Amino acid sequence: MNTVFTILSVAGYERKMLMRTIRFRILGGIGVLIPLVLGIGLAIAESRGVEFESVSGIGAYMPFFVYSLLQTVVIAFIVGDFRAADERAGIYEVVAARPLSTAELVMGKYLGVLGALITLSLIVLVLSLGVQAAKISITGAPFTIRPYLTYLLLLNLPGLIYMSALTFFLGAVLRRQAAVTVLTIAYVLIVLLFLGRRYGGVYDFGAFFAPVFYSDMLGLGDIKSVVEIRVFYTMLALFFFGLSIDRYPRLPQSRSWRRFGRCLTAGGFVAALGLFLYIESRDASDLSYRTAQLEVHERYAEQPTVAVTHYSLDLELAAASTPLRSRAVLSVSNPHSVPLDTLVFSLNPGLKLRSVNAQDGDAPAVNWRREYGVVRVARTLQPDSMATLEFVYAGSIDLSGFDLRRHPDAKRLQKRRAGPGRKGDLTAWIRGNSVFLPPRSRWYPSPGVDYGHEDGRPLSFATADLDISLPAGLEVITQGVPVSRKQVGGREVHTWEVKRPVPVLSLNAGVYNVYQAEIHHIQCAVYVHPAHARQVTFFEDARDDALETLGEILDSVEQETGLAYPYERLSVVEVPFQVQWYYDGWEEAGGLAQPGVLMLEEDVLMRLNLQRRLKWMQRRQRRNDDPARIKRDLLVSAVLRTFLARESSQSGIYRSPVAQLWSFNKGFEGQHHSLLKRGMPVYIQQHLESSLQQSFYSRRGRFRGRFRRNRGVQSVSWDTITSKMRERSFAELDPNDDAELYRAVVDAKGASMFGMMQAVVGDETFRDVVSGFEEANQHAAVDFGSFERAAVGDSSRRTERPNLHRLVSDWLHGTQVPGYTLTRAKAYKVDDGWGMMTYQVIVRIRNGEPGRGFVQIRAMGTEDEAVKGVEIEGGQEVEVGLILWERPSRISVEPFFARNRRVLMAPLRIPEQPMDGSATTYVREVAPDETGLTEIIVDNDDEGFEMPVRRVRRYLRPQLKGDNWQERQLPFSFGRYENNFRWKKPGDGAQPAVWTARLPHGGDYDVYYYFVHPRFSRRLRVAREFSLAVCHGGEVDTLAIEADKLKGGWNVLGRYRFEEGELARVELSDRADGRLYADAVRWRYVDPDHPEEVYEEDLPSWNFGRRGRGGDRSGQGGGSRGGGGQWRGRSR
Amino acid sequence: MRIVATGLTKIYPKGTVPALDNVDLEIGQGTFGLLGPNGAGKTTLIKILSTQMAPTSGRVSVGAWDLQTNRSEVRGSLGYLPQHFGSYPQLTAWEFLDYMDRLAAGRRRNGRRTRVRGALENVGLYDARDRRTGTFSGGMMRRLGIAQAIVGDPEILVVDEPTVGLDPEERIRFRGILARLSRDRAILISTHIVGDISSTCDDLAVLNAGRIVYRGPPEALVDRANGKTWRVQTDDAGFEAISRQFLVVTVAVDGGRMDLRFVGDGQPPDNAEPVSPNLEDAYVYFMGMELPERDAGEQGS
Repeated sequence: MNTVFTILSVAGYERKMLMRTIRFRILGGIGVLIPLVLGIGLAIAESRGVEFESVSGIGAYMPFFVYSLLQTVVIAFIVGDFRAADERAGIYEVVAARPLSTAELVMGKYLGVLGALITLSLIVLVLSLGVQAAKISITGAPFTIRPYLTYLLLLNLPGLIYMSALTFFLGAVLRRQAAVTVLTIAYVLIVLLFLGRRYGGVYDFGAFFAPVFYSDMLGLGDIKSVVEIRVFYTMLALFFFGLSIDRYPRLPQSRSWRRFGRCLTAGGFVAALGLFLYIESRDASDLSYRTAQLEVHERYAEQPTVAVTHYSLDLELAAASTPLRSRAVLSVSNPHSVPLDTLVFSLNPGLKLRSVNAQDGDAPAVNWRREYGVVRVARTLQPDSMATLEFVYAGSIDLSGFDLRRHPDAKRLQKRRAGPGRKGDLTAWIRGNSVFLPPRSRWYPSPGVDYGHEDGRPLSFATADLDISLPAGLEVITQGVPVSRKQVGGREVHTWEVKRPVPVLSLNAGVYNVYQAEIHHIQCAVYVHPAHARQVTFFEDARDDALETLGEILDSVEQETGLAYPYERLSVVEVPFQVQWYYDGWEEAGGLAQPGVLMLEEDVLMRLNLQRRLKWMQRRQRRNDDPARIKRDLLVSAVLRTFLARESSQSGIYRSPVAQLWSFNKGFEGQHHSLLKRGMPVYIQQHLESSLQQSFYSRRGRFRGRFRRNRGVQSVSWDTITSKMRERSFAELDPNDDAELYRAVVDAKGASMFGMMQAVVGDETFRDVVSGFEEANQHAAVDFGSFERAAVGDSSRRTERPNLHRLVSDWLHGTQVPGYTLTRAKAYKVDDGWGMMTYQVIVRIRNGEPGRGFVQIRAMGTEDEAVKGVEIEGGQEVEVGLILWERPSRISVEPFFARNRRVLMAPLRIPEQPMDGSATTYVREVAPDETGLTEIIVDNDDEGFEMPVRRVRRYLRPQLKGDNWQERQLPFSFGRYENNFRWKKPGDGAQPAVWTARLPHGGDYDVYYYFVHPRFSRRLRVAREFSLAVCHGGEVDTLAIEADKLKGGWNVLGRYRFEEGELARVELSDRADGRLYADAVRWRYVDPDHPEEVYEEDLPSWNFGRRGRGGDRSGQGGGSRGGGGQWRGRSR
Repeated sequence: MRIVATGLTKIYPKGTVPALDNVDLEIGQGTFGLLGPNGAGKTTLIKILSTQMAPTSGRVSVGAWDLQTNRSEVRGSLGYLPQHFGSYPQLTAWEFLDYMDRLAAGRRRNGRRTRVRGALENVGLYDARDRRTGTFSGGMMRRLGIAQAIVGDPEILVVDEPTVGLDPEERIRFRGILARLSRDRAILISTHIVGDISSTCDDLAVLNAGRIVYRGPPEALVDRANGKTWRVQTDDAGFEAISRQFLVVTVAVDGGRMDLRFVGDGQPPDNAEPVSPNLEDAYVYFMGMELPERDAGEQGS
């Protein structure tokens, strides 16, 4: 008791003293204030209609997350001072001479510090709760205290205990508090910036990267591994605490107390080490377990097996005795031409198989053997004969029994793995309030094995009837349609029937509000957790409009793709955000896609911000629009954003209805089948996105910016891919060796290839091809060649079309990436003499790269448009004539898989005076001497670029001012000139960067300067003002450039006159007020017949945060006739 | 309670000369003074006795307890005021003493308030009990130091350089407190200020270069300087002559004349008049005359 009294006395006074220090009050105040402000901000935002990812959890998570981060800083500054402060105060010797043991003293001080910091945590808790209570009173949002307490216990306290013990130890052995603080902060930074998310999060002492988001639907999910690591750090805290006692510089009181300190050290160390080794060995054994399973799967991969034609499943889920109990009756057939002696099935290894019985024949009991998830049934089945097998099994889902090709540290495993927003790591579960059984978890016997197939899993399409017994109050979602629902005891039995064959079955269950309607002859049902029901009831008063619009969307989808929705029911199911899936090589192994079911993570639904957007739109619209109409627009927007987001965005394609349309009723095999299996859905997805966007928004003009922004996402990968594709063709890529690249190329090149095909054969034909292909291959395996043949079709019908097969072959085997320039775009009115006025559009495109390519040219008027696909050889320039029945306003050229990453566009100016004749459609090659364009570009790697280099002899001469020009590579800028460039610190003007070129024709040229727009211009001290000298016709124009007015990319310096054969020269002086960049200069010949034509190229500034203002084109006078327009020029 | 040190030696890890060299010492009830010049080893001895530091060799017993093996008991019977004493500035005097009492008297939880109040009254700080100690003056802080040393009601009080930095008034008050406390406990005062010893100690030891060079009552030390202490009024030349032959204890300048007090064995000037020696005279005489002669004799023998 005396020991306890002493420890508590020390702890009490230490806490009191700490809490009275100015430092603690300031740091603690900041630590509490920031989360408080954050909490208030979140609450205010939420009360104004901003929806956060998990409404009830986010209010708890963010304050504690931020406070936990700040807490480590507070600890670093305060805790390490515990001994040094005593020494400074002159009390150290006095306390050391007291009759208390060192262990009591250190323990008391430690507890005192912990007490003070826990007080802060509790203040954060109380304030967060207060803020939450205030928010609830305003918004009526649901509330649960569990996440608050959980985050206090999981995020906050273990980190506090560990960091305090570590800092205490450092404080005990180091006399300088500054050293303790620096070491502690450095350690925290290393963990946060480098170690935290690595090695399964074992270094993540504060659970900063742990998947501990609180779901309204599932709570915290599986946090066993998180808790293990929290315990690990608590044990380490004991270790450091014991060391602090042992290393505390004071004569020990007694041997027993000394032993106590050492026991604590050893005990903490052994426990932490043991736990670490346990975690490691478990991970290792888990990996070897998966490897062993993979071997079994691969062993039986080539063994032919049955096809299941019908499932009759009698399931009992979440019962007290066992999570899953099932009796599955399978109707199987032998689709092969040889008899089968052994029938191979997959079943999750966590489900114990009790028996397999034949329901026909004389001997009902059937021999079977099981190796992990592979069940081999000894049963002979003749070709084309049928049998009925009954499987009785029970148990739980073994999470290591599927998604076998994964490892916690592998890169391409999961969605949103890193960062504080990491959501979860649950792939399947059966709980009393929620069930999630994706097909790949093999919760029912599936024919064949899952891994080791060369061409994917053998096909098997089955109908089914399911009786599912569950705790009452839960809704069930699976394939097919619900038939009945009845109460049996405290449970409910749901009966579902799958009439249209599906390749896989999935099962979801949970507490849901169900909203149903029939749209476009399809039963549509939305399953939403009651806490999130407001996201659906929001549309209540626009119900009719909304349903009509959804019908229109489904119609549009069918019309645009040529694919009809294949099932009777479409269920949109909200799922907890802990749902995780794993890639299998280059493709998603089923991902989360389920036939007839679209899953929606709860955070996706909650992020829609419907209320706020409604208010925003009402405010924005000056006319008093009908709220129901706005809501309908919001619904359309939400549907398009949610279900038709780009593949490269967070959601991926699994949420897309395209999977429902394309992927579930056929198999994919043969060479390049990835193009069909993945490239086609990605293309359809992209096509749908743009076409639906155009259908639903073009007239209203809303949301366009939002969709445009999404396009930039893939820019970086695009450049990387084009770079990689110059080294190896698509056909040479090995999908297994380089799965990441293969996947990216399939997404990029595969999708754009189908775009090209559509451009070649035309929209309507392509749609017919897809539709016909789909009908012809129901439940069959398809390969890429068959689709290509279907697209090429009857050659007599398509004689004038380019050789599609050759283009596809180029696409697959070529390593060249074309690059296009829009060299001319003009139009004039044509009068045929009979009063018929048409418009002749003339477009010239040049492919400046060696590879053959294909572009689609589009001339657009208000209502009419003319489209033409053109093949262009490398180095060739073609002229395309198009007819338009109304005044065209602009031209766009869409390149397919080219260095150009975006559509090239040019405005059109049309003279009012009509010309006689008739407009024609044609394509012709432009002869070299005919081309109006002469364009010379000198890049910093080219011969015409020079930079005077001065040698520097240090010590003998003064240091060269500004150094020499240095090279900089931006690998992700492939396809742009700033892929590499030179830079230099400001100098004395003696080292200009010089571009020279000998110009073949005399006449006017537009001179351009390529400006590499620095992303962090302020930090890099980039020159704000510098000068460029343009030498022309014996004169020099020096232009004072203001960097703020430049845009990233080509900037016109002006129009200048040059003599034939003249050596044109542009100099960038190194006398400037900051860092300079030298990249490329371009001289573009001005066609004397069309001097007004200056084409705007769609040169993006994707990798820069801001874009400078473009040049003022109207001010471009001739250089020799007065210098560059927007620049202050002077001649000398 | 008695403190008995036998053969106490302390050699610091990087030191070549022992800070304490085979010291034997016995301290009983009353006030015991430990005198010696700077670097004599006083603080080392005090740190060993107050369990801050372990000796290299030798043994110390405090009452029935051995200092090495019964630190808890020794610490429980010890009050200690270090040379550089401070306090927790965030605590009031009352809280500070309460805290110290809890640490000192964990086994005797009852009567804490009385003990704290008594300690504060003993040092005259009761009225300042609610003031934060960070606002205390130097004198108050030393008194607070004494209060914390006695708050656990220890049987032995170890005080290191207690009056350094105090003004005369505080020093006198402090000596008074020590004298009062010495009635019922053993007090060990380590100092180089002879005045602290002369006014309070019954017994003393003089420490020089790590060894005890004198052990006995102050009076016996004073007797050694009897008949060897003079006082004279002289000028600069006289001062020079005297300081060559004698040890000057005090010098008081009065106009152009100097009033010297000096000790030594030689023949004093004619105008010098003998005076009764005090402990300071005796200490100077002992350290300056007798000890060198003794050391020379020991070396010679």
